[in-house]
Amino acid sequence: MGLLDGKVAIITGGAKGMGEFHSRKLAEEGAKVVIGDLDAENGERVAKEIGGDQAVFAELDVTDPDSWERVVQEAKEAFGTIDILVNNAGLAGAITGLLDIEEDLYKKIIDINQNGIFYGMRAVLPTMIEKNEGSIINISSLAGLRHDITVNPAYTASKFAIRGLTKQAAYEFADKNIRVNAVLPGAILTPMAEATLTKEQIDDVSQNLLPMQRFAQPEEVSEVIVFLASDKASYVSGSDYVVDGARATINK
Amino acid sequence: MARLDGKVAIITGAAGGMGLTMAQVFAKEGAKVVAADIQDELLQEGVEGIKAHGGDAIAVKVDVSSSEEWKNVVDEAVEKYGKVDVLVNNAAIQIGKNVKEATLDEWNKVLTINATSVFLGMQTVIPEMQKMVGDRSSICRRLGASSVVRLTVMMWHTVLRKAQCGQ
Repeated sequence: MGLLDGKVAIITGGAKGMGEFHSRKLAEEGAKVVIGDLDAENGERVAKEIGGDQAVFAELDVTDPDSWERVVQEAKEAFGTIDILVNNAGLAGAITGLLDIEEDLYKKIIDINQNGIFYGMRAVLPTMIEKNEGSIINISSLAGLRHDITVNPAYTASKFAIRGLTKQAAYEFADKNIRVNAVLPGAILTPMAEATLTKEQIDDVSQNLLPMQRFAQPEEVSEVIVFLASDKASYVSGSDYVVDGARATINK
Repeated sequence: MARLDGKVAIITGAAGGMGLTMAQVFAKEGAKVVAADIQDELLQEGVEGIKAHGGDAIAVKVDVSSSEEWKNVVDEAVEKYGKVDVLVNNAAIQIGKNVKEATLDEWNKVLTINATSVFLGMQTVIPEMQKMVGDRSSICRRLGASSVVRLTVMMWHTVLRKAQCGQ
């Protein structure tokens, strides 16, 4: 018996990276998953690997409210309802300063990371309000808690904004039994991190910046999402769940 | 498989309230529970209840402000279950008085039981956790090897305080 038996979840950016791990873990815990992503090839692949009766891919551009409406309809057609939304899709962009970041990139990051979550919540909330139940998990970042030297201003701004939107929604829909929480991952060894960082860089960061002296495996974030999505977290709402191996306790 | 199978957990303030509920839920999830509290009769009752439901638990009387008594809790845990994986520093008191009303003795009592106890608990338990996994680096690398939890119940205090002030 899984913690999410009988529940239906939409995971944005669920086709690869951390989102792929979330899609798989939620399915492992019994949820039916709708993998929302722009990347149809990987989305179809993950859905197929999870198993056709438990997962579907739905093409989703999180910055487009019409696209969201279509995904909500597809989720309902496939599985009848929506219980869980994991707003995971995000764009990091290169490390730059405030004066260096190109305006187009700034706006694009804000559009995907911040506006995407706004559109996503607006799209699923009517369904959740109607059934008087729901759990929304918005993926922020350690960079949404304090300044982080490894990102750029748009990323930082958007990840702070996600926490704000989370609290707004948590407060507003608390009496509808809809819980809204933010998850703030620290250094995670995603496939992308493994591909872009050398082993020396990973070891260097681990030794010098990370109290646990290691990156997290993506599954260690997925487990927290499963908890927040499940009925075990029935009184948890409006919270920031920091998954950073104690990194935020130091100023590095 | 339950989520705390094989883990040994010390929970303070386990004779009643949230602490007892924690002890019950931990036991239900497979943990071996070392239930600690200063109210030993009530604690015994709680532990008997856990055992009656098939849980594994022992009761150890503790004054959480005493370093010696903390040592006894950890000794009992290790003697019975061989190790300590989890510490929940839950024990706390609340004196419903505002700054003008509270005496220095009351202030000191609250700080001793609510804060000093956390220091003493961690100081006593962490060496045992480190012994279990060897050294600091392996504690870090072994996933979920150990955890020390301090539960704050400030919201209740705030609620009570507001009630007392008639807000």
